[in-house]
Amino acid sequence: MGFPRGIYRDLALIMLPLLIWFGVGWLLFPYAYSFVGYALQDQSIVVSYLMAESSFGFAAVCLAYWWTTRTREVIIHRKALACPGCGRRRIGEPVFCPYCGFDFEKKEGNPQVGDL
Amino acid sequence: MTVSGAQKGKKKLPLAYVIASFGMGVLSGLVAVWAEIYYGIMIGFPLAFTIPEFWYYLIAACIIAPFVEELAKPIGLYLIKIEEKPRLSPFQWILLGLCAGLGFKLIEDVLYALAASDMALFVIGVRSLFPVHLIGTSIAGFGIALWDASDDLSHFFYAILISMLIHGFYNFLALTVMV
Repeated sequence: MGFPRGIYRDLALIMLPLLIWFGVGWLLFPYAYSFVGYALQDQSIVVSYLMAESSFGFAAVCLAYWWTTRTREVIIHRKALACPGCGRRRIGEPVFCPYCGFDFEKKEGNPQVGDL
Repeated sequence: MTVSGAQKGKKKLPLAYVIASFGMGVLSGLVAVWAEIYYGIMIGFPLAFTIPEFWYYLIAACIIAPFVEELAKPIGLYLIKIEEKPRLSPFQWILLGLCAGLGFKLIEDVLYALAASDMALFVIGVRSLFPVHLIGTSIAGFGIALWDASDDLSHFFYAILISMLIHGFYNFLALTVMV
């Protein structure tokens, strides 16, 4: 069985610390309330611990996903490709790039159009 | 001046984009406050007379607030994508989303702290425990990365929808657990 392609790898990498932060927040939340003299109800404390566990669980999933995937490139069918000459998007299938005059059929630049 | 990109050999993330995302996050926080007041009055005010108070707050916190805020937060990224058309990696788009969420979170924390003048430190302390705005905007940033890679706008809308659901669920928990 192959590893997942890794399209969400970057997202998992950034979500990992945020989810840990979120989980720690839920863990500390009842203490923060008691610190200023308020007391949460018992079911609220249970819910906050459950949320902490869920957050750590999702963080573990993110870590596992990031660890086991290697392909970083986002591979999606592109409707528009970048011009090799100037890097701008070409929509559809034009013969010349409207910005730099690159000839897509001959795959070479067109200095006359590009100098305009 | 640039901020280091995550991927070796890729172009670095311009600092101007980072500042623009952060600044627009701050501005969108102010816009969201205005929009929430507007929607709170237009939609919520009639409901306040017909449904119990708790349900009014539940609708305002779990439906109106996530809808407005998650649409407002990635405005900076959207403008960068439309106006600048930069060639950024998905990691860099997510980082920009993170910056926008951070700006939004900071201005919202300040506004909440100002509203609760005698409990300002406590409010800032409790709110700093939960980076829900950062999570939401990071997902939105990933949606823009997929949109950029595929030229399919629906990826962005799906990402916004997911961040709205997460935000709404968090607000539901906050409303039910914290009272």
